[in-house]
Amino acid sequence: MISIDETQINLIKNKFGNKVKEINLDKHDRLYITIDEDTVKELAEYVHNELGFKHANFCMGTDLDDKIEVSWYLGNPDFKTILVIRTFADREKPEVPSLRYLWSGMEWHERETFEMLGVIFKDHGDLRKLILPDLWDGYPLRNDYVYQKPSYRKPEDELMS
Amino acid sequence: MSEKTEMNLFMGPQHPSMHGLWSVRLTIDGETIVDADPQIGYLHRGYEKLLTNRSYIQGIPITDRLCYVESHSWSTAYTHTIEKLFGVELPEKANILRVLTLELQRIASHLLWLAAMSVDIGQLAMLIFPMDAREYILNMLEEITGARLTYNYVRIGGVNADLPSNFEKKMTTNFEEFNRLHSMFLDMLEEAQIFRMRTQNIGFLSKEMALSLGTTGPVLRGSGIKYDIRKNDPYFGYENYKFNIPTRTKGDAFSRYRIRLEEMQESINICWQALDKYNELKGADPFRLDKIPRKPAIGEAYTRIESGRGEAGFYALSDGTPTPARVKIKSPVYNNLQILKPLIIGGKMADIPAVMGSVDLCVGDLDR
Repeated sequence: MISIDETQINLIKNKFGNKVKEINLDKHDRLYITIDEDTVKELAEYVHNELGFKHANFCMGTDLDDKIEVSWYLGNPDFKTILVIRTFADREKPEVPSLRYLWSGMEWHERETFEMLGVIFKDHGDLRKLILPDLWDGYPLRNDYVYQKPSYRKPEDELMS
Repeated sequence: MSEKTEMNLFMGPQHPSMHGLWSVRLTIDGETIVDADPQIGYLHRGYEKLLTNRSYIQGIPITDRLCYVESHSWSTAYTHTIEKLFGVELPEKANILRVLTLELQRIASHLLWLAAMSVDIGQLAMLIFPMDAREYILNMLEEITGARLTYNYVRIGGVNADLPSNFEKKMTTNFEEFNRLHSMFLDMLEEAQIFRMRTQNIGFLSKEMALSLGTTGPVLRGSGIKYDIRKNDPYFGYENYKFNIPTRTKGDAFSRYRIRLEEMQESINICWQALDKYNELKGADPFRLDKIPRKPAIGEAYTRIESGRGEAGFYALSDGTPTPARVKIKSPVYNNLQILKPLIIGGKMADIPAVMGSVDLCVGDLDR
C-alpha cells in the first residue's frame, strides 16, 4: 500500500498557502493538516473531490484548556495514509462547520462531539444528543466538568416529542 | 381506504434480535418503514473518560471489557496505540503470538455472529452448531491465554505468556473438529430457502454509500471495496502472511454473510502460517520486552487494527504525565450501524433483522 507523497502534500500547500497553519506527516503515516475554521470546508471539499479521500473515518474533539481542537479523520482505500483535518474552536463559543454533507458517516461522530465537548457543528441539521440522556447537563469530556446528577426525564415527554 | 396511517413503534431496547441494549424508533405505515431513528447509549460506560483517569497499563484489562465477543482484539488495539506512543518495537515472537491469537479471536467472533444472525432470521437450529465450533476455538485461546472470555493477554511490549509445549497437536485436533462443523454451516444455511429469501437482495449498500458512511470490515468489503487494514496499513508483520481478502460486489445482506464465512477459512490459514513462523524461531526469542519506559514523551498516535467487525482504532494523546490526556475509541460498529437508517427506510419490518444481523453488532463497543 502506498502512502501519500510529497507531490500531493505540495498540492495542498500550494492551493491553500498560508491558510494552512501546520502540515505534518508523522512516522505512522498520519497527515495532520491544521487549518483555520473558516477554510475547513474548502479544504474538505478539495481532499474529498480531488484527492479521493471519500472514506469517512471519525471525528473527535479534545479540550486543550484554552481552546477546543476538532479533528476529522479521513481515509482513502488506495492509500495507507489517514488524512486529518484539524481546526481549533473558541472555548466560549465553539463553532465549526459540519462536514456531514461530504461524509455522511460523520453524522453520529459530530453529534457525539457536540454532546461531549459542546462543539456546535454549523449546518449539521440534526445536532441532538446521541449517547447521553437528553436532560444531561454539561459536557463530560471538558477538563473542567464536574458531575451533576441529571434531572429525571418523564417518559411521556420522550414519546410525545 | 386511502387514508395514510402512520404510527410510531419502538423496536428494542429489550428485543431478542437487538444483541444488546439499543433501540430503533420506527415510523411505520402498515408494514412499510417510513422513518427510523436509532437510539444508542444504553450501555455507555464512559470509557474515554475512564481511560484518562488510569495509567497506561491499567487500560489493558479495562479495554478487554469493551466488547465481550472479541475482547482480545480491543485490548490489542489499545496496546498497539500505546506502544506507538511509547516508541516500543515488539520482538518477533510477540508479533507472531499476537497474529495467532487475533485470528483465533476473529473466528470466535464470527461464529458468535453466525449463531445470532441465523436465529434472527429463523434458522433456530443454527444456534448450537456455531456455538459448538466456537468451543474448539475457545479451547485453543484458553490454552494460550488461560481465559475464555476476557483474556488480558497482551502487555505493552509483548504478550503475557508463550505458547504451551504441545500446542501444535491441540491446534490440529481442534481445527479438525472446527472444519467438520464449518462445512455443515454452508449446507444448513444456503440449502435452506428461507435463509436465502431473507438475505439475498435485501439491504443493498452501494459502494459510494459504504465509503461515505465510513463502514469498514465485511460491510465495506461486501460492497465491492477491497479494503482490509491487515493489507492496507499492516501491523504485527501481517505483510509477511499470504491470505486473500474475500470481497463481494453485490452489497446485499447475503454478501456480508458470505464474506465472514470465507474469512474464517482465511484466518485458519493465517494461524497455520503463524505457527510455522513460530517454529522457525526455535524458541530463543523473548515474547515480551523486559523494560518499557514508564511514561511516554509528549505526542499523539492513532493506530488501527482489523477486528472481526472492521477498523478498531485508538487515538491517544500524551502530555508527558503517566496518564493519557485524551483517548478516543474508534469503533467499527459505530460507523457500520449508520447504514441501518438508509437501508431499511422504504423496506418492510421483516427486513430489519436481516439487515441488522448482517452488520454484526456489538453494543459494548458501539456505546463504549
